[in-house]
Amino acid sequence: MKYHLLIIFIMVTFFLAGCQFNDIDKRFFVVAIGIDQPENAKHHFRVMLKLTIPSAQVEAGKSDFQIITQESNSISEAIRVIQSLVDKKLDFGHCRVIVLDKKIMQSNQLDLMKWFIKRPDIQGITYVAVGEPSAKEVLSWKVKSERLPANALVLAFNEVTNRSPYVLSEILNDYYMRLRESGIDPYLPIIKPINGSFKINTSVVLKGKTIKAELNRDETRLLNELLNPEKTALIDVGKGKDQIFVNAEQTKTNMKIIIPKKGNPYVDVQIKIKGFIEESQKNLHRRSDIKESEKKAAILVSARVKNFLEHLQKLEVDPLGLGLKYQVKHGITKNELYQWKNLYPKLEFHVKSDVKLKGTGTMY
Amino acid sequence: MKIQNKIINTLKQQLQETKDLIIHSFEYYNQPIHLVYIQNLCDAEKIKTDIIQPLMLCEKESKFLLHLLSLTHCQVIQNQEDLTNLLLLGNVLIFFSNEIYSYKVISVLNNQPEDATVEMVVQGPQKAFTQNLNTNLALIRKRYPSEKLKVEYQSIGTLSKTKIAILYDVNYADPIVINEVKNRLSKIDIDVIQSAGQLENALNKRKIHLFPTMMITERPDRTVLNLAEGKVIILINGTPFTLILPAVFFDFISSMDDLFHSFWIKMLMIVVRYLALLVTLILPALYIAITSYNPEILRSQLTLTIAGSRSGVPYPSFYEVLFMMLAVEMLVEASIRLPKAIGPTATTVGGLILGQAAQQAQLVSSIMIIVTAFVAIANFTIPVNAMSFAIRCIRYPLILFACFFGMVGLVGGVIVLLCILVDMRSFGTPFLSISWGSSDKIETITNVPKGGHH
Repeated sequence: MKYHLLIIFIMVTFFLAGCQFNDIDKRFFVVAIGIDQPENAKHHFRVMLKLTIPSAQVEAGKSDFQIITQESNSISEAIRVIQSLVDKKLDFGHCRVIVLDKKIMQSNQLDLMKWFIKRPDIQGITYVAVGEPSAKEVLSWKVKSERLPANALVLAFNEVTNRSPYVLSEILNDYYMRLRESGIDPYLPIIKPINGSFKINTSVVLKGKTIKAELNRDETRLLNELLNPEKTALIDVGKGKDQIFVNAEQTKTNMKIIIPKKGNPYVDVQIKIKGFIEESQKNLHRRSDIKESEKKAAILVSARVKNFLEHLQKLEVDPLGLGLKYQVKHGITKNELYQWKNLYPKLEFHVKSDVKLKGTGTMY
Repeated sequence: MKIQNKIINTLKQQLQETKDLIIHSFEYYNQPIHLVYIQNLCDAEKIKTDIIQPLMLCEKESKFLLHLLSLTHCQVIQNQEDLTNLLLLGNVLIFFSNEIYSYKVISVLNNQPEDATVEMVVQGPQKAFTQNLNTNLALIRKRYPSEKLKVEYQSIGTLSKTKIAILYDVNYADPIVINEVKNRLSKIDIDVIQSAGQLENALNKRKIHLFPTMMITERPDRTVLNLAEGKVIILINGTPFTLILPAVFFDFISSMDDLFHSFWIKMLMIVVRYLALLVTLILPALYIAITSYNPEILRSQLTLTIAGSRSGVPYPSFYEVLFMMLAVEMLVEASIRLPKAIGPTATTVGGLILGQAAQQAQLVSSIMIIVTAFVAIANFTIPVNAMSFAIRCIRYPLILFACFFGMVGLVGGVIVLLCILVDMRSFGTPFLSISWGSSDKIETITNVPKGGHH
């Protein structure tokens, strides 16, 4: 009898499920979150969630989504309100993009990012970006080739699928670290919707928690190359008839802060580039031609990097983390931080680059 | 003379006056001779050539007696109590000059080896064992002509008296295992034994068990290979399957083909088999865990596809899984029972039409169809059927765990399963033990970590 009761008990429990049990089709997947300046001055944020409407047939340009907007003083409150506006449970497990408005980044940005970091179901590898003209514009933009909502952005930021040196990508964990660390400054790419696609080739650099300046396309590229050596870069050398294009396959950048006993402190930048010539107006027959090109390219790269670093110095921003390097050697007491603050604007940049060309074209 | 008639009459009574008991009486050398045998069980031709014809040719009584005793299976009976037994085992009783002789004339049935149908290999021996014990012994002796091969006979089953043979190589087999086998065989109390699986169940100490701890095979080559590895073989009369013991888990995932292929092909096959084992074991449970608890595990592309294809399905994911698993189990069961001519039709109807229709009727998602097919196919890659059936069963507890606790439940369930497997012993050998190479074949079996045998 006991045995039978046990069997019946097991059979009955089979029809029950745990509280966490929630089928995949009873969930709303949030694929992107946008934060805008609120229209109502009483609130701090305007939170937008991009929700997918999944369909069995996945087709290019047929990605179906829904954007729910809510103004509030805190994100968690906004999310709670949004939950009451939709029929299914919100699931942040697949949220891969956070788009911020420029104006929002002036104020209490750290608290905002804390919410994203503390939330367990938002992944640390979520991409963070600035939306122009507004986050709403970016979220609601339809990309022609897109098969799933917000997937185009994820693919564009992915280092494997998109190796363009113009696309700077920043993930949540890294951005949060840069916001909190004193020796390194954050940067964010800017997403601009264009006809049927996105333009992601400019960026902003921040000083502390506020936007300092916007970097144009070339500056973004240089920053990207210095930050991510695995990005393949194209270096254009010379002008007019002498112009050649070098495809840099491998870039290695080494930076050291050197404070000599006599003379000015400087940053020793060593750049090693390995690549080949992709395009040339002139015929390059001999090895000596290539050697000459190497020299020209090296001089050009050095000058360009030096200019860029000085530009960042003038802006008083430090996305490359020179301050951290200084802290590593000298400690992080208040005194040291103060010293670095004085030191950074005075630093000189000694850039030395070494370009090695394997030949002309991929086949050499 | 009277005594003989009396004995025959008692025999008749003991055998319930059965009509197929033949009593053949005639007179020769001026004395009555009786031949008693059971019709159909005995070979009439053999009686004629070995007994009647020599009788006619021998002028003297002593000469015939000499002939009778020179026959290999002929003996003088001292103990008159087991006469009925001898009759039932296919002997003819010869009542002649105050003595009773028995001569084995059993007609042999089913002694032609047929193609292996249960455990097939691509390259390698194609014939399976026969239903006849002696033929099977001959098959093994031919493949394993060793003077160290020892054969012991026993009969099991109080009614069936099934003849079994215990085989082992004296050099390699572990005496502890042999004693344990004999001990357990002597304790078996069962009426009728007709198959290897039945004997395995009877030999097992736990009455309710899932995983086979003895290998059942129909292949002579596998049997001989195991014999050389120091294992004990039990042949059973009337079935082409033999029992091999002790057996470890990894034996059940090995195919005889592994020996016949070149190294890399073999490695690929083994890897594929273990992957299939994993797939068939956890995929249904994983589907529940992912769709209902942790959809963030998958890439968003796949998650959204699953969500899209499930959006019309009215019931929770575990109904979906149970429904499809039930369909597959029924399909497999049906295709075993069906005649060969109808089999393909049933699989087409069941597999293709049911699957397609269930998906179009939005009873299950299209991903579930893939999962089902994948699980069913993967299950068939396990070479030994006994293990294949066990794996089929163990899926369901895992599904239950995944239903209640999602991913954590699935992982917990797998750990519990591992614990059960680790705890198991097959005649003293840990069920999950791995023998590294063949050089240490004696050690792997004698090294009993626990003193006791299960």
